Amino acid sequence: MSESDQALRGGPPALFGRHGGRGRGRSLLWHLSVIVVVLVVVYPVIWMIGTSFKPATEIVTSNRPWPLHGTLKNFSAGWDANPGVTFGHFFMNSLVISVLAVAGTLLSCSLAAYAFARLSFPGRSALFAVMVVTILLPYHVLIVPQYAIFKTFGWINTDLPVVVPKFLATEAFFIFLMVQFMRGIPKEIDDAARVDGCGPYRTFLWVLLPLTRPALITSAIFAFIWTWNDFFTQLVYFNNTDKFTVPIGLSLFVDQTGMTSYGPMMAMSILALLPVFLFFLAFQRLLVDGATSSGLKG
Amino acid sequence: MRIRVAPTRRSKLATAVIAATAVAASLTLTACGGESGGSGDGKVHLSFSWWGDASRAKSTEAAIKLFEKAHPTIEVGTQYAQFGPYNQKLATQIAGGGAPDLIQIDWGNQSQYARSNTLLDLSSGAAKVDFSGLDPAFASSGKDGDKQVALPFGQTTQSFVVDETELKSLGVPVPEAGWTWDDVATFGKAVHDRSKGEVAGLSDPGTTWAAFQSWLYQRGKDLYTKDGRLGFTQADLEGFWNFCAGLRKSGAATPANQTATLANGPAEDPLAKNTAAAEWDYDSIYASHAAANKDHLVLVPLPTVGGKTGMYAKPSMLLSVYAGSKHPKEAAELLSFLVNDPKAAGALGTSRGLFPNLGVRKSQTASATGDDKVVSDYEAANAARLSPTPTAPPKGDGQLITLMQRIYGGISFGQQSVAAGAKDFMAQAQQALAK
Repeated sequence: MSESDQALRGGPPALFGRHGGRGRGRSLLWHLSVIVVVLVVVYPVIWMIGTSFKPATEIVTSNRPWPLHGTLKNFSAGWDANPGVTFGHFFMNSLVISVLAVAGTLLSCSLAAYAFARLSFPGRSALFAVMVVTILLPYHVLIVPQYAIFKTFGWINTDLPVVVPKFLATEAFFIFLMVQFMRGIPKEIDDAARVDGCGPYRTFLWVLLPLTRPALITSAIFAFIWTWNDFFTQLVYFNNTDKFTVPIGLSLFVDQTGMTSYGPMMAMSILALLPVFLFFLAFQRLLVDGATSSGLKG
Repeated sequence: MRIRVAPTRRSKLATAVIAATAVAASLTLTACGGESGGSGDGKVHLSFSWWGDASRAKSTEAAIKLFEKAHPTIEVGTQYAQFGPYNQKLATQIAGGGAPDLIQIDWGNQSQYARSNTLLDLSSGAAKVDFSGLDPAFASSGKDGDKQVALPFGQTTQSFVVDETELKSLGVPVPEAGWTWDDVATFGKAVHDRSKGEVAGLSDPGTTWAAFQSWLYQRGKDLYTKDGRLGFTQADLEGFWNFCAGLRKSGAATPANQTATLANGPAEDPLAKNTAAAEWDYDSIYASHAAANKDHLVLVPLPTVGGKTGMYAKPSMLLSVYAGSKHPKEAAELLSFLVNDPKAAGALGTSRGLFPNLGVRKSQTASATGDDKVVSDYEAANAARLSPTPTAPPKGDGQLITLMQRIYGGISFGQQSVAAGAKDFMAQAQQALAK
């Protein structure tokens, strides 16, 4: 175990890798153990993909991850499971609120972060402390008062309760992330911008915002995934089937008191994972960029 | 020089951000505009919420369509979710003052919502409903004190779901009505022995709160007193658990690890996996059991004590009118349609249990087929064996259901003795009910 542990941490030691037989053995061992770990981690996904092609009777009775009598029926059944709307409708709804959430988060949180990191105004440190504390508030404490407010506005069953808060910098985590990042950017750059005639707004837009790009990308990825996967907020604010989103649609396949349709649920789960997977794939390179190069050094 | 160059290159990104915001803002505004065009058409807009899966959604939508056809001035918007999240959402809506006009509620939550004055009285006033077609004793399950706060939306009864195919292949006879708990032990042991230990006679009922209720009811006791306290003693609970532990040790009932899967529902429980030949459950769940099993299943009434089965007509779910509703009269009309009208019965089927209105139920029973027929026939054959329906469980009932699973689970895994577990249960249960 200790050997594979070491392998996981450091990879194959280069010292042995260059030598002949013994090094190859080590490298083989290392690869084998990595493959085993990957299999364990990936198994649920394989099972999910296999189950989505199984007929209903095979799902509970067989432990095989792959189907014996493959079928595509689960996809069509899952797509049309709800009366009046297709699952595609849920995808559109999820996509709209997720994209808006990303836009709102990037815009409002970067502005707020700029204020906390660069501008000096009375009460800044107190407000910053208050903001950080809101990260610690459990969501269930907030949901009832929020619901009451949005109901007074007449916003229930619209996208507004889910989207508008994102435009008002309520996600303290992202502000915190961006503030920390901006603090790492040398202040001299601001000074140089000021010498060139930039006010606070232009300094933000032209100098700081481009330099915080890695933090912005990290925030965008998380904002997208969190909104795409968020279940409870969307459940509470969306009432009609034609407003339902993907997480709500998926939850309807499981019912303790009724039938559970595992096949269609797995089929739709795969489709639901695709956007998150693609989004991650597209921005993964930038995410790594963000982790390795933090703006300017020296 | 460098800094000068940077802004022009980077400004593209800034423009993109601004453009995205503009698009977002305009989208937000359109969403806002779409909202206001609601009640200008002179129609009454009702909202109705229930829990269930997609197949129940289809049948319920069909019933709603029929109601709208008969009442052209009323338009019904429906909301549904899965059972667990549904109750969380409903609690939020009620606390925030925005619950739907007509609400499907769980019997376990009825007292809680009634006491906080969120449900209208259905026997008089604005939301009066004619429920003379229902069995009065059964309808009274929706009473909280003198107020009729809810009406049952389906009837279900306790039963043993038995795997007939398995028993035939083992040569063990299917138990008959009037069997006793001793017969249960013999039956379970016979299945265990003949299958060479591969199949237990029944899923261990020790974690099932409702099975304990039947056990008490057969002995003239109940889970709760009228004022919402525990209606049984520690000795009663020990008696039940000792019996269950005996079944488990002899192999007549499932071992602890299999019993734990009962909580996953019919699709993954010991009956579906063919490791038990019988299971305690409500008959309204029969269709789900049948769907998860290749074998043929039958329903058998509960074992008796002194001829009493302790079974009763239980509301599988109930309907209530929200006190904050702007249209209580129309909500009551919809409620009445859903529990009385033969057209509603035709559309709804039996996924919620037997139809509440007795006259309609009779004709539904006569024309039932498949799984529905098994359940209707079972209910009809056992109507005479039913005890009166108890009053709605007090607030805290839901916690006791999970407490029972946790503590008996611990006992069957050997972490605690029955006596120590029962003592813990009594203490924690009293705390949960006192809240």
